[in-house]
Amino acid sequence: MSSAPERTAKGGGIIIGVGHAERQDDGIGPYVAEALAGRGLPAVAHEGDGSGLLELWQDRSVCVVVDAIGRLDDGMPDAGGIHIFTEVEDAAFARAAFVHSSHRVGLPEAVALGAALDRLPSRLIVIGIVGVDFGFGCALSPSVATSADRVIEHFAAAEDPFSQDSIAALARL
Amino acid sequence: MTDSTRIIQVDALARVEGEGRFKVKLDGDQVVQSEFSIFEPPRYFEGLLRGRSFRDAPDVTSRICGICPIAYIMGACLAMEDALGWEIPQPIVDLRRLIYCGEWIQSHVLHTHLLHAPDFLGLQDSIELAKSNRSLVEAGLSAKKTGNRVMEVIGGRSVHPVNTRVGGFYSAPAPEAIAALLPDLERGEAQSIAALDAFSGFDFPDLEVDYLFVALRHASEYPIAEGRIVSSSGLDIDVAAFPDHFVERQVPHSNALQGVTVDGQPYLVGPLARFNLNADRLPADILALAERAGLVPGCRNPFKSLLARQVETIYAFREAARLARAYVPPEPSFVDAPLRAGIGHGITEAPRGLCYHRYEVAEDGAIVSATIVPPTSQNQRQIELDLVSTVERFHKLDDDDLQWRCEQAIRNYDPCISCATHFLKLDVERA
Repeated sequence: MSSAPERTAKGGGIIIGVGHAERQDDGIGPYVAEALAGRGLPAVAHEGDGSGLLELWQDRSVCVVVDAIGRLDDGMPDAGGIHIFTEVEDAAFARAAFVHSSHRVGLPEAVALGAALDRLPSRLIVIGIVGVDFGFGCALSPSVATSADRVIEHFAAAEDPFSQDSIAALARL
Repeated sequence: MTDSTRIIQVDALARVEGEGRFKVKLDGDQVVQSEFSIFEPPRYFEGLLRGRSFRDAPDVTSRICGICPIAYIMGACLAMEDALGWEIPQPIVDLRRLIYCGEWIQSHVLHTHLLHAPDFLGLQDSIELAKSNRSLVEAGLSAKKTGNRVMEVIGGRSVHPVNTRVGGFYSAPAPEAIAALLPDLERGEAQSIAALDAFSGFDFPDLEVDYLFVALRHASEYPIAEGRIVSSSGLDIDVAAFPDHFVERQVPHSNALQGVTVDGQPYLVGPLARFNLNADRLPADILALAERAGLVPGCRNPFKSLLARQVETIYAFREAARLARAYVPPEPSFVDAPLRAGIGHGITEAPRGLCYHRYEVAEDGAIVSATIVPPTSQNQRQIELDLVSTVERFHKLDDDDLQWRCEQAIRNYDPCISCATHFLKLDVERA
């Protein structure tokens, strides 16, 4: 897992893939981040500790976080469904089940802590992909892998992955 | 239940690790039933290790915990080296102590600053704390970053380090990489002293518990990864004698084994036990800071474990800086000697207390059997008894306040039930 923040320059955009590569669909984030880093984009995988996320995203103009979310029963998409949170203060983000990034101070707590400490990037977008299996193993579920590949192709094909147009187009994934 | 029965229920206790439930039945001011249940499924690490190479034990067991992987790595290494009869040179021992200081720092400050401090201020969590005491949270995050950095520089990464192995390290860090840690370590000590001052002003609930303290004790150092096992009742034994004096037992209401002495007595491991059994091993000025903060040797107030953790944080920063200044890369960076069949024991002081490993290895280095006793397992019975003491002492509080006090009492232990979802259900029945 690549977690070295020095791999990406401060100030610009960054993509952080949160999760555990050996817990099946929780590996969505690292899968996306490592694929994008392999294509030369500023992307890092991170295990999800909230204090580390604050360090990674503060002072960034744009930060895109990719993480697994659990299946929800309130109208959220089904397995492999992609949910884009462009306003992390909204109720949907608060309800989203980021169950497998809950290393005590996890992603939702890091967002709230970052807001309290002025440690959020200028713009934060969270891409939640609904996972179905979080047991031991390295393989993503087929529908989850398909969605992860769509996210990878979106950013890899974008002329400027952090532009307004690129971020807006995420809604069409 | 009678008309006067009251039930207090917590469906999600944050700021602890894992899935558990506490139920207490109160008749007047007497607790008649108390159960602290851990209902996470068993993880079978000891079974996983059987048949695997002895070299796999540190990496496999580090996966038990993402917060304190060094405790498992070091316990496994020490036990394997004991079984194989390998002697480890002092420079490797020192480098191990340095990375262990990093783990103490990051684990302790996460708990003291972000998870436990809000309890004493009537705040729900670290987010509320950040709004009311920003500098305290900033200091905690800064200290945690330094602890993580120590683990990254020596271990390759902060979560589940990969540079450690039986016999030492795959490679020795460059001297300049270790030296670069010094400014943050020195700043961290100063910030930790300021935090101890802040914590000393907290209103600590008035409760004394008659503990049997158990910890390591070293001939000259505050114990981290070496020493004999001692207790407040006069026990003083070699590490290999641990199973002769302590056992684990199954109870119907919990999936986790409970540690007790061979005669069935509960005991306490962790910062408060270490401090009480090793206060004379602290530098005099750090002990003076502890006493000024209200933590004196012999303290039996479980809520003051917060102070013990913070005193140990100061010590870990000081000790890490000392080791960093004296660092000379071990050459070679690991020992690799002939194999032999044997049985080995290893104990270190994880942030939450004693962590015991025992392995039997065959002539070819295959693991025949494995036993691991983590600190929260050893403390589990004492947690139940602390909750009894807490409910009996504070039973006149209304249900909401009593529930708060119980949760606070559980967090005195920084219990690491697992690295999974947080869930604790609390039932208090009043007859």
